Amino acid sequence: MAHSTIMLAAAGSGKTYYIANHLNPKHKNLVITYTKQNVANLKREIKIIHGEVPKNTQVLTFSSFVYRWLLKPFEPILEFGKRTGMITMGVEITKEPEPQSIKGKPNYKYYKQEDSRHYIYNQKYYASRMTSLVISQSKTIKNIIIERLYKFCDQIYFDELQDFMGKDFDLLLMLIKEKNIKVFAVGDFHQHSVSKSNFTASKPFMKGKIYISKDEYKILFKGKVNIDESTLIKSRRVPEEICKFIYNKLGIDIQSSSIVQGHYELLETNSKIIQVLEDTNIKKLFFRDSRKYSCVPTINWGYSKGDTYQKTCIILTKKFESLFEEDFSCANLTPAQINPLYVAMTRATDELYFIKEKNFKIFKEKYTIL
Amino acid sequence: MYIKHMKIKGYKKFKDFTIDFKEHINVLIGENEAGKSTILEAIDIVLNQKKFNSSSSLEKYFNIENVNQYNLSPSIDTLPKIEIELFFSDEEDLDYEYFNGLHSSSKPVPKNGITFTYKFDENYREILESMFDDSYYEKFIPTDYYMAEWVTFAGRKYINKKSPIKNVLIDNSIRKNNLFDSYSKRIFNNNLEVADRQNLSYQFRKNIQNFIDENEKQLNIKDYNFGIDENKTILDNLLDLKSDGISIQNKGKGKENLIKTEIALEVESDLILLEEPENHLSYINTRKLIKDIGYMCNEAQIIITTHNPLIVSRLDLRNTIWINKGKCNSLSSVPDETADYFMKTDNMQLLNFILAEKVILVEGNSEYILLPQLTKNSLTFTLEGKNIEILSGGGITYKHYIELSKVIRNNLLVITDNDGDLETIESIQELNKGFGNCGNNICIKCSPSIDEFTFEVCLFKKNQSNLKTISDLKPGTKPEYRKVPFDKNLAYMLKNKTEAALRISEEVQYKEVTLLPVYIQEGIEWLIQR
Repeated sequence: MAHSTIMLAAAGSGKTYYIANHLNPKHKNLVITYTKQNVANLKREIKIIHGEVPKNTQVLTFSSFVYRWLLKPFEPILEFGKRTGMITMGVEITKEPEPQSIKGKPNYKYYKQEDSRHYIYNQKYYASRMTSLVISQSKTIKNIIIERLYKFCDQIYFDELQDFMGKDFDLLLMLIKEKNIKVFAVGDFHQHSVSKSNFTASKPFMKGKIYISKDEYKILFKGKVNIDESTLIKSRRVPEEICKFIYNKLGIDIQSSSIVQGHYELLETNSKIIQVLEDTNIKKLFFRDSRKYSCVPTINWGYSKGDTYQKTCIILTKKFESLFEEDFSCANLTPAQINPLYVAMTRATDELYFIKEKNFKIFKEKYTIL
Repeated sequence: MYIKHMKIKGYKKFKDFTIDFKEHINVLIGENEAGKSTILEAIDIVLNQKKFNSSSSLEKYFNIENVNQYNLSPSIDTLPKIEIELFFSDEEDLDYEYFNGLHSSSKPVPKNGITFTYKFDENYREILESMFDDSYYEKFIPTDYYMAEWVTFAGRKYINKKSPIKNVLIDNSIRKNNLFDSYSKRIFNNNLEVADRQNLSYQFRKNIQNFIDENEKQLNIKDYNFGIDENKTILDNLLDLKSDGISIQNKGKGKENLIKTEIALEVESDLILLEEPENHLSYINTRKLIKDIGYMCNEAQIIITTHNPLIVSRLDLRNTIWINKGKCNSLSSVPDETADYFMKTDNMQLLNFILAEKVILVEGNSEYILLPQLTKNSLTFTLEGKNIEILSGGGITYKHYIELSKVIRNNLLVITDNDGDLETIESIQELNKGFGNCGNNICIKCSPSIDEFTFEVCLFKKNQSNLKTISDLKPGTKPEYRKVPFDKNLAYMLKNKTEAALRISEEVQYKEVTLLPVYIQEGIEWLIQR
């Protein structure tokens, strides 16, 4: 019954390429990812391999998937809290729902889950509560939803597995558990909690206040799926040298299949620093506020997720100032702190430079856009 | 994908109507104005978003009963509404997900399809409520506050660009004649790839622009210059289908219909809607057309409206759907043998038989000629006055008509000869008993006496005194028939059946006085009581 596969991959190992290549154009495929940007990436990759997005393949964002496949077709019988059946006008994209509490105080504007207004505003779904509406359905309705899903679809691909958190993760598990649905989910565990947008959920990556390990994460899927940790272990992007450095410093096991030898270097002299900052062929990665700086091109660590550059330069935050010292240890750091740097370090195909924040400070004013 | 099923509520004739379609051929029959064309129209409205996308007056499309109900008590709740649901075959391609869901009348079972509704727009509820509050007695429907909506069963907005069924509607009926534009357009759209169409339309516009550029001087008048009206130069709208350089519009009605239909059948369509394809066609061309249709139907679904018995019988009686009194009746349960029989015999009376409520089926020409007149003489009414159709079965074939009658549930009287055979008489009695038990309104009548082996004998016996000189026209008539001696006059009638019948129906001394033989009179009396 273990139909479904979870593939844990390394950064730059070609996840997008793998999905595009793995999907059988004769089958009915749904390819689901988090961002519109990634939808475009996947479509591009699929077109390169298959010439066209195959007739029976749909590439869509997770929220479109939830709306079009799991909610909209069933509205006449759907349970919106205590209310059954409702025809909506779509998804509300500008308004966020009222939270249960604000700064620890109960929010009187909040509607409980049994009230349809918990999910619906002005005949539209709150985007952020669509998943929990699916999960709240009775077994009978869930079955109807699942039946339709496997009627029209042989295989579901989920990209960016590590971005599934909170209720989204529960929904993913629910789909994986279904023996009639073949799920293939791929992601990089070490890129979790590096999000392009704000998120509030911490499940499943935290147990209480403690982050779970990769092995603990695997246990969450246990018995339901094949877990493949070998196929995409090698990074096609990140060179050998840099992989070793990442392993030594961050303790994240990443191997390289790149033919480029690679080079990384901590820049400490002013002349070198200026030379790199002024080089427009080098992408400068700032922890945050990258748009404030004129040493283009620049990007935030988190936003660089999924990107590939030839040369990069990371401006190290205080936490990582001692990265190059012998006794550097990340034992006291959380994944939420380590993972963004890991993402930043895995973007370059050739050269990776570092500048300590204290060294950058000297030039900060010069490169700040007023 | 094909259309499996359609539900029409509140549209024209149909207050609440349901029809099932077959995957390949469907032949719609019915009296004039029964609603055959309305069914094709309804499909066109749903699939191609026709009619309801303009602001023209749409009131005429409401079901009259609904309108009357509204006029009796005008309120928001009684406002007439149109709803047409089109159900597709149950296919599982990923693309068809767009059509699948519970937004249909068959919830909670998910189906594939599209719903069209034309109803008052809830956004205007307040305005309307205040209108009705002010004792609103106007007898018209506020369609200004109506909206037309197309939604797939998945709950998604439907646009005809996403039509799952490529279709073409060919209307050969005389009523409409401006169909060419849209016809050519559809053929164009169905036959060319999107990219090619875009390219052609682009080339066309480019050439028009070139024309303007090249003739700039001539197109200039003082401070003004002429341009080309872009609304009038849309390629699709200018297309005209030609054959050998001649527009098919100019090829004569019959030829035009044949060409239109032939082209439609050649075009890659999933669905062909054919309105009265037989119009203006000769017998031979109709047969050719039927052959083409039969050949095509493996790949496409065809829905035809017709008044032509040839089309009905040749395309297999079992594909016939009979529209009558706002209901549809499928003839799919007609036995194979019967369908085969009609398919082979080109029966020109078949439609009359199906469409008539009360039918007398007689054996030969003599009965057919004489029955109307004799009924008038013997009874107080005429067959025509009682809406009774009389058909000639031409011999031994009445059992096929009986099978058909069982399906269409009309009232059927069969007048037949006993052929002087006691067994025939007894078996007919058995059959009649069976009909009674099954609730069939079918009755077979023959003379109960074996001496009266055929109609002429019965007729002669009943009217002996009037017919005693009928053989005078042929004085040489021998008083025998098939080597058995008979009265000379009866022998004449037996030997010249049609001639005798015609004379009795026309000549003054017979016309008004000849009476029905008893078994026939009994039969007719049975029939009018139905």
